[in-house]
Amino acid sequence: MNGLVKAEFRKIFTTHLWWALLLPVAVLSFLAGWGGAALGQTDLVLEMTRGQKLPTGLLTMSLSTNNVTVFAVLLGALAVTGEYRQKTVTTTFLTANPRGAVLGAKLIAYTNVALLYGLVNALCSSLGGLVGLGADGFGELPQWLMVGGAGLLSMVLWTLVGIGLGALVTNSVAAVLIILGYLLVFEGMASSALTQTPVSWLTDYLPGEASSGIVGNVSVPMFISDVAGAREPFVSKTAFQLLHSAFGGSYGFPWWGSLLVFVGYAAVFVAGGWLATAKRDIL
Amino acid sequence: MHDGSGRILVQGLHKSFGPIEAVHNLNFSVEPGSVTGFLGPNGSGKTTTLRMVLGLIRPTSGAAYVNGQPFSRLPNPATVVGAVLDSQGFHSGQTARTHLRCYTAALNLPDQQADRVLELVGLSSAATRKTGGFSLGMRQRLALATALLGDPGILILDEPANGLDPEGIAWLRGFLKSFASTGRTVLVSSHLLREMEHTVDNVVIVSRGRCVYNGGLEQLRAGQHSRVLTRVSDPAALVTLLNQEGMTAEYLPDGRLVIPGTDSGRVADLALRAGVAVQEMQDENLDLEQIFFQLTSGQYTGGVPTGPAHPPPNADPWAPSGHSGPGGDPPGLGQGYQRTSAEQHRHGQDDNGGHGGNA
Repeated sequence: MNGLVKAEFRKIFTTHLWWALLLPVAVLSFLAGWGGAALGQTDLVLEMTRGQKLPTGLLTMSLSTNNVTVFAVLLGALAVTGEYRQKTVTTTFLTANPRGAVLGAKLIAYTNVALLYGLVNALCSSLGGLVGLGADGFGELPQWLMVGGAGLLSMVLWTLVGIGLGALVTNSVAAVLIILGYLLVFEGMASSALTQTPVSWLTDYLPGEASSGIVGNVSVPMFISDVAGAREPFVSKTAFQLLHSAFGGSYGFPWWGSLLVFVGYAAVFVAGGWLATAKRDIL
Repeated sequence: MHDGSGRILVQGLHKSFGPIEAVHNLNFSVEPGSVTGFLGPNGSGKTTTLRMVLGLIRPTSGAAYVNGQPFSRLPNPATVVGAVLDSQGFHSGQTARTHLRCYTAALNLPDQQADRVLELVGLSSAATRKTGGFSLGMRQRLALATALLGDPGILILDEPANGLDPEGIAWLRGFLKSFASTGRTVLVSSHLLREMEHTVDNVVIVSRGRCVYNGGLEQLRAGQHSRVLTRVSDPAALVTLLNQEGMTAEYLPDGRLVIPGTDSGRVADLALRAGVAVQEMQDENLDLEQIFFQLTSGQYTGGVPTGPAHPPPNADPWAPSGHSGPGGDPPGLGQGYQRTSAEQHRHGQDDNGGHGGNA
């Protein structure tokens, strides 16, 4: 198994995909951190807070995480479909028994790459925050670590979802279309369709919403608690909802709840990919 | 654990892709120490069969064993069996060496093994070149290098000569022979018997997903004597006499008779005795390619007509006219001949053609 994981690392770092997808992660994270920090510095906000600087760095890290996880799921999916497209999957399966061992090795190797993605995201968005806001905008170190850690979890889980999905569909184009179509179009439509119905709570359980809740449900309550201090119990639900809609999560939903839901999705996709891989004819 | 015998065993292998029957009840075994050719026209199920042996395709029924075990139960399978299936399995951005080192890692082998197999196939000078720029011949060599990484006792190659220049083919022949001469097993598929004639010791010939011959190449060659094609005034009378003499005959589509295992002098004598006029007579010696064609097309059979000895009025001239005679195996076929399909299968001709082949 060690050998198979090592083989996966070699496949990753001798080809371009890992940095081609990491590049936009770094750039987008930096821009989100920078732009978000600038928002906390506007005169209007400073006036409202009577000069108190807001820890918007926590929120912007949340924003950047939820924007760049799409690259993590693409990475995972293309990791598997690329083998089918390049036909290396034949040799891969000829060198490993059972096939599930290959998928297991990919899960391990890409978990590490996803952690790298998560770190780059946290660092770049923080760097953007530093440039735009200075060191005051991040709250306490443990808070920064918690939001960053939630970001790592989200990134890893999305990569695993991608690997499972890739193993299910095997076609690169189909996988990319499914991912982008779902995240950019379908889930938004489904959410807005659900809001006016008695089952609007379901939106918290959709994959995109659940994953953004992992970070958003940490950062938004933390931010409000920092800003409001002792007045926190009196902060209106609307304020929460406003921030959640921008930075992920939903009012009153615990971050670990989102985590559990999304772990469930990752497990379903990985299990599906595992079964499909074991049964598939490699032509 | 596998038994290390180096034997490939295929038992009752059957694979359907939806309504298409790619492989039908295939049985054969491949022994170590020799090169076995796996021959058949395009679309006869060769690739599907090889991929079933290698556990890449799940048989509909039946099983294939490598060293006494199904592929899926071989631990570290690439050290038992190496395979060259297509020349496409490379990431175009990787160099030959980085490609191979992905698999040395997977097999827990030292990285020097990558350079060793590159040298073995004559690609050392291209080790640091990206595979995207490789010619087909270089890809074939790299595929072979990949198959050899684990130093397997069994080598399976699917149409390895495709894309090789004559020099490359000659080199490959020599390589396979010397590989087998060390007591290891080689199974190599091709749709051209002529290409394999000087390389293989044994052949498994498949046609439309069925095995039509499994045995030594020499026996196949020796079993095929000359035959006589003749046109006579009263074929039925001649056939009757031929049968009395223990010989067989068959009608060709154009009304001529085919009489295997004899020569024109003997047939002329018999025609005289039967009192029929000989209008045309021709000796024919089958070369290996014709034998191959005969076996795989089902056009000719060596059996005795079981019906009345004259052309049936609505006879489909392409249909086989009967089964083997009282002697069991058709005369003229040597001891290596094992007719594994009990009958010829015209019905498979159309719905199987072109599928399940070298996809």
